[in-house]
Amino acid sequence: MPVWPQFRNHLRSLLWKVSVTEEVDSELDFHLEMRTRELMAQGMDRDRAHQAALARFGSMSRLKRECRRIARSRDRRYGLAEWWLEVVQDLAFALRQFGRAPSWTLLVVLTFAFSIAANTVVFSVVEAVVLRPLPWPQPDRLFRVRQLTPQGGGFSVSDPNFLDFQERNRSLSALAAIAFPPPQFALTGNGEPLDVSALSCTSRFFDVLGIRPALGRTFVPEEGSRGSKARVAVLSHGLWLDRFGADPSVVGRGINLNGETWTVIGVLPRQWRFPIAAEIWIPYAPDPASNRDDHRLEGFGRLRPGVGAEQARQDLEAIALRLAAEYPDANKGWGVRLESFSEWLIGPWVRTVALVLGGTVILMLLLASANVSGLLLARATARVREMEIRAALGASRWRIVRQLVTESMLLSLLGGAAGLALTAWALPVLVALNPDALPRLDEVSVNGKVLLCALLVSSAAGLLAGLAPAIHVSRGGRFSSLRQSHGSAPAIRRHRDALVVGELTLAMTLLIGAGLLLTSLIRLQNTNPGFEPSQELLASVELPANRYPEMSPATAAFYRDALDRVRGVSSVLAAGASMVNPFRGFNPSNQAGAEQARDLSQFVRLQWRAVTPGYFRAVGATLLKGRVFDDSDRPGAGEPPVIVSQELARLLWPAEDRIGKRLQWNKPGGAKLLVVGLVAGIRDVSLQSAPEPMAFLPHSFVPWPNMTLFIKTGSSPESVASGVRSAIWDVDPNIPVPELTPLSSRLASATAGPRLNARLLSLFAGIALLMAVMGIYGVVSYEVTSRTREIGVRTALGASTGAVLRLVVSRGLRLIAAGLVLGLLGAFLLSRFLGSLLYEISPTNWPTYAAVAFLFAGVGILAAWFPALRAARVNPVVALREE
Amino acid sequence: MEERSDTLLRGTLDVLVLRSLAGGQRHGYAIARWIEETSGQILRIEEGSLYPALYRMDKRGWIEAEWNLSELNRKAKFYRLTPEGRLRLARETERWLSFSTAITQVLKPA
Repeated sequence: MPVWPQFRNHLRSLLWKVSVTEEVDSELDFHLEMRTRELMAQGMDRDRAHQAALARFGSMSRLKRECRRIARSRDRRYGLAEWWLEVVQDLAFALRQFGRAPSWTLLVVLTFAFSIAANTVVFSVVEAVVLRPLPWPQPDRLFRVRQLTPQGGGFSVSDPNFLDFQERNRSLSALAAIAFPPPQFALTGNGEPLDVSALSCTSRFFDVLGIRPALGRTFVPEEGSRGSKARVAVLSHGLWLDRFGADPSVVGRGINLNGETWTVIGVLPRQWRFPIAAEIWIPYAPDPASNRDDHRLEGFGRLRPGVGAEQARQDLEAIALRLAAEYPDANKGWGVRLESFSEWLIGPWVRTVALVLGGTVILMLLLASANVSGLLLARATARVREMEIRAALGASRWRIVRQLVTESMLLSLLGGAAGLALTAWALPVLVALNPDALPRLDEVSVNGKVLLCALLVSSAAGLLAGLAPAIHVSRGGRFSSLRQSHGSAPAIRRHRDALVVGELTLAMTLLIGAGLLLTSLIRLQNTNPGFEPSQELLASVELPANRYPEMSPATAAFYRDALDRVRGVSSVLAAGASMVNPFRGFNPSNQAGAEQARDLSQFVRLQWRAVTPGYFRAVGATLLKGRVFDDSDRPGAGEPPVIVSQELARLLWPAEDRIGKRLQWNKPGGAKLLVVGLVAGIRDVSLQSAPEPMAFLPHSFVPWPNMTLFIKTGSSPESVASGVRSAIWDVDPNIPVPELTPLSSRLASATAGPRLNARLLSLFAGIALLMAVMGIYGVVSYEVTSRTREIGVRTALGASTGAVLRLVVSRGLRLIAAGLVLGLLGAFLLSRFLGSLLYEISPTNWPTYAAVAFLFAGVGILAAWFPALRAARVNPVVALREE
Repeated sequence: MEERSDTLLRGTLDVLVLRSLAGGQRHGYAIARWIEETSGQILRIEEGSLYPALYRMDKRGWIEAEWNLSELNRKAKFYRLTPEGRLRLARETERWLSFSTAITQVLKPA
């Protein structure tokens, strides 16, 4: 509806500003008065004329009410139209301004675009990884059910205990579990044999989590009951897609796992992923007859409706107490604990990462705003005449502020649009570069929430960048002062200086943060895991349970023979095996005490590994004292030996000589093991955490069926792969294809998370440094331009080039120095938030601070130097002729 | 929406008011007087309908108002046709004339 043409006049009438009440009252009063006079002219006296005139109005109060109501809605309509027209005017004007300074505009838009993109990228990631609800119902009512050791550490549940918890609890609608160690399967038929990751779970596992299969069904109770011979499997969506071409008819068909036929009964939904990767799920029946000491189940429970977490904890704890009384040998002192499932899924450090990255990008946004603020100020100085003219033509201060803020908002929104485009491009790259860094990272997308975030962030940045310079420029009295002939009004100069110092401070803080993360990453990647990662090949072997029963001499013999043959493969230098496939999460633990310990409270928690004699040499472990295992360590030939890590030795025998001591295994009165060797700690579960107390048992005593071979090679790990495979098959041609991985690539995925952090923060800090450099360059450049005349005069009067340089650069140097000091301070205060993300480096690691300070000062001085050189080359004749 | 009263009457009043402003700006009282006098005192304008009609037409942008000094040197609100109001007047006049011609045609004694 065309409203603008008419209301110009309306505006004029508004110059006599009257309220709606006054407008209606005085208009109607006037009418009344005129009518009264008319009636008096016809001969009535004043009172009667007034009465008669009034009577014609009907109900005066009702009429006034109605008129006021219409007038108000009229004013609303015009008010809105007026406001909108001004916005359109301001926008058109802003666009004309941009057209006049295209490169300046591009610079501002890009500055905004990068910082807004940083914000939206981080927000997209945080949204997908942390904020988005888990893809199953009521995740907050889902808990891990873990046992507590007498020392208070979280621990798995044993089969009989699990069955008792399942049977006796009144607070969980269902309790399910996953069994460890997971089965290892080779999938054959349908192409190359393939090692698939698998998990076995109790039959109600998927019901507890609330997962409905995409196809078919999940397990029924009979399939997970003791003695069931059902060979049924549920496939992950990924495996179904990759291996079976998403063929729905696979449900009901048999597949070949380790040479046996299993029936596929269902396919899991695409968006569902369990924290422990698994492509195949099979049912598990807990064994009531198994050892209550053998803790190998990870429990998951869903609260019964109406039951709170605390209530459930008390219920389970009461059961644990009864179990301790009924089976004191195995359960004395053992408790139970509910742990948040989502916390476990997302990972505790992810929140810290979100906090750090979120803080970083907000700092970047502030930096970009400060930078644009500086650019706007620079232009504002040039636009003083325009402002003066507008003010002279009657534009109010508010109107001028609005114009300038509209300009900066338009710039920031353009920047936001460019930033979104950048985000849409960068997210897939980010995900592709860092596949394992965060759980759910591949669910990242530019969605409505991300758009909203971009809009909010852009608006905030635009407002922030535009408001200060706008108020500054519009401040009436300053107009004249801005026009001093050399153009550098002190107020504006101070303002720009403050902005640049602020930018330098922010950039410095970010650089130090990035420096710390990078240093930490480098240390992490160079961590000595207790073995040498280079040229090491891992081969994980799964023995079929029918021919190699758990803990049988046949199993021990197989690995002895296989390792002998592997050692014979050309360019294999050493080979040994451990039950733990490194950095895959499997971490057998137990407890042990010194020989004289009489009570569980004197026992310590430890990790244990069954290893073959060649293991220590193959991984390059450091033997500190005593000996490693050899082939003479076997059952029946003397006391069972154990090798302890330094960390364990320190706990059990703080001062004495440890060789020849005896270790009590598992509980008071348990097996006694003779300490024959002391080695430096080994990390094979996580690189980040310090080595835990660890005990090594000879594989001949504990013939674990699934072992990982560590093969040290003289050439590249890949080159020996086929030799290793045929060496294993020489011993037994019927075992599944072993999974072969170079240790270096396993390590790379173990450091994926820290790598992502360091990469993102470095990228952000780089952009921050660039913006800060632009700030310095801008200030010094501006200084040179505005003082060209003065410099000309000085040169004409004989000032040396050096003197001119000093004159110009000194200001830049003062700003750099201030930014440096404040940035060091800021980093000192803020870096504590990095604490938990840093590995073996303190948040106040001074070499990092110093290195960043040097880099910063160097780059800053360069940024000041170039414009200063221009000043030194000023030709006095040209400069003086300028005015 | 609640402003609707008697559609025929209001429509009629609107076109009369617009017509009264065709010759230039007038305040509310002058509009009423002009209609009364021009109609030979046959049409009597109710103040109770006139003012709501004026405010409505102001809101719609057919007329616009301006404070000015009246003949009595008092502040008075003067109304004036906008280009849109002028268009409206032409259209409404047309419709009225054809309508009344039609009525006259029907009622004319044969």
